[in-house]
Amino acid sequence: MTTDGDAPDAWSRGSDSPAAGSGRPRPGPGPGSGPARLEPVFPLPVLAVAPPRRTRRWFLAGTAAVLIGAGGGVGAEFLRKPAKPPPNPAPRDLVDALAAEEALLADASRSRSADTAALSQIQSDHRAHLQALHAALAAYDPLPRREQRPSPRRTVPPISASALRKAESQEAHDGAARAARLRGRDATLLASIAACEATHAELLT
Amino acid sequence: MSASRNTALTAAWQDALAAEHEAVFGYTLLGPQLTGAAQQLAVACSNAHESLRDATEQAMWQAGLTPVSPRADYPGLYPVPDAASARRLAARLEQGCAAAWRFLYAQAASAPGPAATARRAEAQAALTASAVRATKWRLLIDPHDATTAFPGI
Repeated sequence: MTTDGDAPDAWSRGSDSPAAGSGRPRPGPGPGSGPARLEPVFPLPVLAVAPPRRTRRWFLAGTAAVLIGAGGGVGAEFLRKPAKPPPNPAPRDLVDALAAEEALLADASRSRSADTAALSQIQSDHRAHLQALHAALAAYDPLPRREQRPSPRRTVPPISASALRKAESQEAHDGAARAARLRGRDATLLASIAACEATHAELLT
Repeated sequence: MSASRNTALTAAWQDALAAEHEAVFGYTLLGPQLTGAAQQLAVACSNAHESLRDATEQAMWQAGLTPVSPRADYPGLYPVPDAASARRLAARLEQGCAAAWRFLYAQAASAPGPAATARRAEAQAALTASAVRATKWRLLIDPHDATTAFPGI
């Protein structure tokens, strides 16, 4: 099967392979030109040995396993509870300021003062204060809901202008003290509100 | 961090003193246009600002600071041709002082230490006083619009 019977013949060494006999030697370059190489004329059959049977079923099973794993991971991430943030309760002084503001607004609403222009301004200011305080409190944990007890129907006694003036003046003092115990924006807000209560007292003079 | 806060606090304190300087100057400008109760109010306000200016300067010297000097003139306050403009200028001066003291309060409320605590107390008192004086002037200008919900803002 070689052009030169003495030449080392790698091809023939593999003659025990199933493909060995299926090729035909190509003519060499000529006598004395070195060992001749034998090359198959047509491609060797690749599927001479049957590969292990793990084709479609294996592929499908592997794909399914990967998909189930990925889906489970995504689902677990969705179901996992987020880490609970640390409690951030509102400062007591800020909560007290809100309660005081509500009380002052109620007082102003039932005042007997004849100066309706002054009362209107005072009520408007207190509403603005309440709004600002609610906005400030929104930065903290929600306040516990206050119990709403049904109160018996009764007429709330009106408050005199001098009593309202006294209440405003007292709140100017108390609000400044609350502001001094707070820090940052909350403190500055309460300081400004306290100054406003002092102007209400001036208005009612 | 602390140094920058102290710098901001000192700057705000100097600004508050500068506002008091301007108020003192402004009242000398508007006072002659007023008569009667309004003039008395102007005198009382002017006295209050002079006292606060002196006390602030004194506190600054004690704190090792050099108080800011008043400017030679304040062109933004002119002209004051009549009583109405004098009242409006007075309200504006008080509003300016309230804003300056409120700003000092805000700086002090974010800074630690006894100096900041002292500034807060001074600023609260001055803010309240200016807000009340501004209300008195606004009552003379428009009684239906005499207060602001957040003085100094």
